[in-house]
Amino acid sequence: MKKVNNSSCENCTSRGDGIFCELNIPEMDEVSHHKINNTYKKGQTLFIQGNHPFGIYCISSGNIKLTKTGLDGKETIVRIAHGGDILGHRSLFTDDHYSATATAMEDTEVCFIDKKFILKIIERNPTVALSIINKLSRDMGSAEKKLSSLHQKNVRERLAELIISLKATHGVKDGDRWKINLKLTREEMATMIGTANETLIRFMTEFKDAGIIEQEGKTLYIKDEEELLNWANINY
Amino acid sequence: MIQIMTTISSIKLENKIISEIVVLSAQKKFTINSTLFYEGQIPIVAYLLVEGCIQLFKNNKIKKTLKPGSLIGLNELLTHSPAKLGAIVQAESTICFLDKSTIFEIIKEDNSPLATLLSEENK
Repeated sequence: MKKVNNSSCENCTSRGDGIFCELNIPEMDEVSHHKINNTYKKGQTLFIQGNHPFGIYCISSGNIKLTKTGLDGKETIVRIAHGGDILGHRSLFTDDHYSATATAMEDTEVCFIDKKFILKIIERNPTVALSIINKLSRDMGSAEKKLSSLHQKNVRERLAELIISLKATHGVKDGDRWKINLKLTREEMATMIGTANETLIRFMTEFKDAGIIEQEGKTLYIKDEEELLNWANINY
Repeated sequence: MIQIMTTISSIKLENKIISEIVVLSAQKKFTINSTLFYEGQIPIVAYLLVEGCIQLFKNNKIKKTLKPGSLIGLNELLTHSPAKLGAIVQAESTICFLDKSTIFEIIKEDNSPLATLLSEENK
């Protein structure tokens, strides 16, 4: 039977950001040979909330939204994962079912590694475990930040904070402004800051009128980063 | 009776292989409309339908409805070949799965009918 070559971790577009980047070449080749590499089209799901996890997903390129569906059927975006991020690692260690649904926001290249294999690699290479701990710590930090924002900040501050965090993960310098290289609908942005769609639209207009942001189609640009930071009221 | 659904052929095997897989892999409930894999993708594991119903799709059209006892995705998983059909769970179903590591462990250490089947698919 003809074997199809699997794309190598060595040539990954997110090389340097992933959990296997510290491995030596033979070990990396072993991962490359074992993993399953797939491209998910926009709107396709990697896994569904409540289903059993088989292993972890490493994002090579593209963006994936993680959404939680409440009892009322409403979807909330809890995280946006991008190249170099991993998904399903929490469920891997706890053996819990997936707590969210992962959906591709654009054509996204993702590698899957089964649980037994990743645990074997971790046993042999503590650097992989450290990389996962690093990612878990960052996720926890973001979750804590989001929780405190929802309790302590108003919608204007939360929106400013969201745009700043999007700039950190998806910002690309475009002349004297920052382009947010991620297309989000108003509904998606509203769920990310825990507000109604109408409220978000009102504040987006306020930000635009103040000359802080501008929009071209669905693409968002930051014009005045300093003022945006003031509006976000970020305390470190 | 077990059926191996591939894009090329289907093989019928003995019931004891189903029992072997059920012993090796925990049975998991899958909710309705869960996509196991999309058309054109490599399945991340092989799936054995124990209870319920899975439909195979091509261009959003149902091509086949699988009954309990069907094992899908094995050939594509082992050969890293994209599946020509997508698979969606159509009723709350109980499914066993075999990941690549487990498949290689069985091939390496076992002389059972399942090991023979997996070795053949891995050739």
